[in-house]
Amino acid sequence: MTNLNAQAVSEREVAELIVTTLNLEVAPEAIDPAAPLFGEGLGLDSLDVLEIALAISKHYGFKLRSDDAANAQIFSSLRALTHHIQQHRVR
Amino acid sequence: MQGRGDLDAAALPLLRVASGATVAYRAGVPVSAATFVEDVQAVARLLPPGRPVINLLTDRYRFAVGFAAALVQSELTLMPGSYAPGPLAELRRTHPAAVVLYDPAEGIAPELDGPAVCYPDPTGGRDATSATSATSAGLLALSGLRPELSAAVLFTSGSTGTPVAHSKTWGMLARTARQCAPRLSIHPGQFASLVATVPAQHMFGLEASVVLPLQLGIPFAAERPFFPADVAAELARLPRPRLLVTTPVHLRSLVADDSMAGLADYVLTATAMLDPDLARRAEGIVRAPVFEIYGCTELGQLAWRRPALDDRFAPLPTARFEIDAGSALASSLHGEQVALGDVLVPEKAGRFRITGRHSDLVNIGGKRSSLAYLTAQLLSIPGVVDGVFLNVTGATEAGLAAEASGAPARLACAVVAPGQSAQDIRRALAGRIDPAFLPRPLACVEALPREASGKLAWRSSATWSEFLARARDAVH
Repeated sequence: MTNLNAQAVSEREVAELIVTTLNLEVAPEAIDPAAPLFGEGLGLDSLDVLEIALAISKHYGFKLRSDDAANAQIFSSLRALTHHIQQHRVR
Repeated sequence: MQGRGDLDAAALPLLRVASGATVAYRAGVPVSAATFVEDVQAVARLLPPGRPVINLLTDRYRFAVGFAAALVQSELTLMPGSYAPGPLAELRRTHPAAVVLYDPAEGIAPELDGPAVCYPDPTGGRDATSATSATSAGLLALSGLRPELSAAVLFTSGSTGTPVAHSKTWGMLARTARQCAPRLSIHPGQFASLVATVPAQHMFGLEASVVLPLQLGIPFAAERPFFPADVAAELARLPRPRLLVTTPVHLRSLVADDSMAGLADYVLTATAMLDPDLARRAEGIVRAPVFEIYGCTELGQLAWRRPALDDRFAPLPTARFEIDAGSALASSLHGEQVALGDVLVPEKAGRFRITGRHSDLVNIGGKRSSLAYLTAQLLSIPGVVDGVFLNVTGATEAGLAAEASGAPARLACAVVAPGQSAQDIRRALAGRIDPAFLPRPLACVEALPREASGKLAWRSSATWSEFLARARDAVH
């Protein structure tokens, strides 16, 4: 099986996914990778998380679960989300 | 329809099952009615007398236990429209006697500067004989609730910014559930489990995921699954036939994910209009009928439809409508002649279509508010000189794209607040309103275009969009 992890998922790529999925009027490169995604920072809410989960499922082939270890951390920043995708992507 | 004049003295039970029957599932494990009754008594003993309860429990089983415990003590449960820190603190201020019921394990730590009760850990090794007599006494209490008992107070946001209280008696809740269920094709003993994605604390969640299962004897899951994979997993581990209670926003996500195929036997939705195309796709994928309820916090559930087959609504047995030239009044067991925020168009045989909302009112992802209320919250922020919430979705690219994809579009906001950044204002708003209504964009401007009378000068969404795009500072 191809080691997909060799193709690193970039923070920029995930930022683009978020901006496109949520129709945000902000440039992907303007999202601070260390800033919170929820509440502060980008200010996303649970409606957005549902949309992003769907986009991740379609694009990267795996499903977000609430009981994933440290799930609260996954959306704590763009960096954390990118790392999680990197670990779990199937395509 | 029963009028309030003929409320009889007959007591209405909370639970209508034998003590060995399953009332709920926690982590897929059945919880018996006897255990439920014991848990209710354990919580009831902890509730200080004479205090209404603010029930913050997100575990649906524990919420139901807390709700029942309050009823058994003849106390009511207060349910604010939003759990943002501001509104919750405001509720405690206007109801200083209220006691907060919460579970530290849920990670919600309310500001404990007032009375609070922790949900007790289940105690093992109870004495069998005392447990039996306690259970009998408990079952007796729960089988004899007076219909006129004040059970819950729910709040909506008034146009001035002050929440409006809506009082529900136990009779209103129980009778509505029992009398409307057959029209929704839900019968006692028909379903072996119920899973809901909605919170118990809102009108629909209370009616459909707490009162309905208790009254119809449907064991309900304590969990509130979120991601589609979680919803699918929860359904899959419970016995069929399964009833899923959810919202159109959530249903859209569930249907787009292929894990829902054939997992539920009935889907009940409410809180926002369900697009008939989505309903058809959902029925095809889930292989179950999708029913939609129309209602409001003021009056509870009012009408139903099965949009995959027919986009017209029909009144439920406990509701009555008077529709006249685009404005509609409704009555139910909860209240009389309330003006509805939607535009209803009458059809034959008492049915109607809903074509949209009256312009000040908004519904984002199932949460309802008004532009007037949201603007009042904005203006209450220190340092804000002027400001307005706007619904410009039809005019912005982002809004149009959102509508096309079915995702909830957001409100926009223009604010005059010298010396503050858009991020500052957003942070202040987040403490006052539900996140669904946080604006995109929130634009800081020098001044709002007002006429001499003080009224806003523009009505056109396109003009507003251009204006917002030229703001000195904005967050999106």
